Amino acid sequence: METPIFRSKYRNVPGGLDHAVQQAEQRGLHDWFIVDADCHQAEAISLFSKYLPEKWKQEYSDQDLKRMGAYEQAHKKLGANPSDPLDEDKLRLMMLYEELKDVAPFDREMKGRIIRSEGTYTSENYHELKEEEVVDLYTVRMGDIGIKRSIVFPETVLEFCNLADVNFDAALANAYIDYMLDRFLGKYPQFLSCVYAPARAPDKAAELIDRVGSEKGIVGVLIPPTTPGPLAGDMSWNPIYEAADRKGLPICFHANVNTRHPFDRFKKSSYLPVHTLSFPWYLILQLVSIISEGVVERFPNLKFVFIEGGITWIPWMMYRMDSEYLMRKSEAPLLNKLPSEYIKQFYFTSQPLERPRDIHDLKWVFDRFNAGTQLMYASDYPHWDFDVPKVIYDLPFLSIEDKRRILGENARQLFKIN
Amino acid sequence: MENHKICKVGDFTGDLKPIINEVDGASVAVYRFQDRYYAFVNQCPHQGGPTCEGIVLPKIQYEIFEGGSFRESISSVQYNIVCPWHGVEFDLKTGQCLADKRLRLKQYDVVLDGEDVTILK
Repeated sequence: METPIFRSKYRNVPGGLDHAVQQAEQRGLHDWFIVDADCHQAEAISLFSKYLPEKWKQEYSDQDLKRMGAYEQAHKKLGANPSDPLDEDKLRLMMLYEELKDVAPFDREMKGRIIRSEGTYTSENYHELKEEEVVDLYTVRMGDIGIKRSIVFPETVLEFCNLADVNFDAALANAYIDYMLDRFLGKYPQFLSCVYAPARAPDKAAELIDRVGSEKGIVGVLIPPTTPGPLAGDMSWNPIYEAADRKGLPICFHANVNTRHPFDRFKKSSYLPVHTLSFPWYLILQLVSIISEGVVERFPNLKFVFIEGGITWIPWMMYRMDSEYLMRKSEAPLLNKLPSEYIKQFYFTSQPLERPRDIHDLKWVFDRFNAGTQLMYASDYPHWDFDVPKVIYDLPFLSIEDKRRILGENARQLFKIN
Repeated sequence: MENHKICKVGDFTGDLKPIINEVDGASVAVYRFQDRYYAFVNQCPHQGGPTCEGIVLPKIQYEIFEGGSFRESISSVQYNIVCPWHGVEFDLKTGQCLADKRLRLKQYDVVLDGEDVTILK
């Protein structure tokens, strides 16, 4: 695939990244090795439909689409008028959207207030990035703001764990990574990603990790912490950990929104309370599970990464777990040290970095979990709450060595990035 | 302090659309709102985004009634500039951030010199 240059399209436009380019120039960040440990692709599902096995393509017939009321909507989205012929693969995948449409119904752009052209959501439509836009974004535009490597995470794929059919979830997981390997990974050195593991089907997830885990460009195993069913400490997850261990890949829990109980109790007109809670909430759920169930001792070489929950919850959970453990040690016989000591071995991404009134409160948080070696910068671009690299660079309490580590070296080491 | 020309009075196409120009390498925006002029450095105190490239929207205000119920409504007099990067909102007249009073857009005085709209810097 050739790399079209869309730079002009995204520069000198309202809400564009020109200011971030200036920030990088003023700070000399183009000379740094900055790794963005979490950014997003806004994948077009229709682009990887052809990677699905025939069995699954046929599963979703026109009848199903009509039954689910998606047919009309698919026509509206894919064709100019009802008599237009439509791509059957695309039509079938419209059904997927139908099934997932209530998972994240909140208005991220705050009724049109956030108007960046790269924004991936609008109130009305889900904006999918075209392949050329994705390549341009991660090979050119992120480089413009100082980022040398981008670990690109999907969006809708994060919701596959909510599909009713676990086997379809697994089939899509395979199709998605095949598409990524075919079109992006290993082709552009800047572009890295993780293999999405359908954790509700641990054997299938392990098979997938074994199949693609050594491919160029794959640096980790992605698991949405909202995955229903047994939590990550359950023995049923062992095949996933064994496979990740074999491949030397870290387990990356990427937080996402879940609008089911208890978050469905908030009013839908405001994203503030759900976004505040849901992202760290599910990370905490899985972190507590893998410690209390002894995954950290059963798989001592495995690395864990907690993505997109901010960081201020980490000390809270350290103190909370240590206090509980003191009194209930017999319920966690596998543990050989305080839970907080295990937490200090985990990795965390920085975004969305909290802004306490006194910035030195943040230093206190950094010190609690050894951020200098365990924290990795992430932009989450192009999402509405993205962080530019200066968010880390400008922190007054960090040494230049810590800035270099957090902005790139920690990720380079963990994800074995050349 | 010197006067720096940003634009001409006739350049404004509406109350809510600023004219943005460079002054000594800094991006400065001037708004005309109800026949008065307001100038700000086009840089968000949050993450440095191009605030003045965002839209201007009326403030969401509220009334609290006896018994605790409330009603939201749209102000007809107070408008906010919304940073397009993250949605942080600033008062169009003062540049003060709505959510966090410690933050504000850097503001300049605007002086009309005939047809020229200038800022004092």
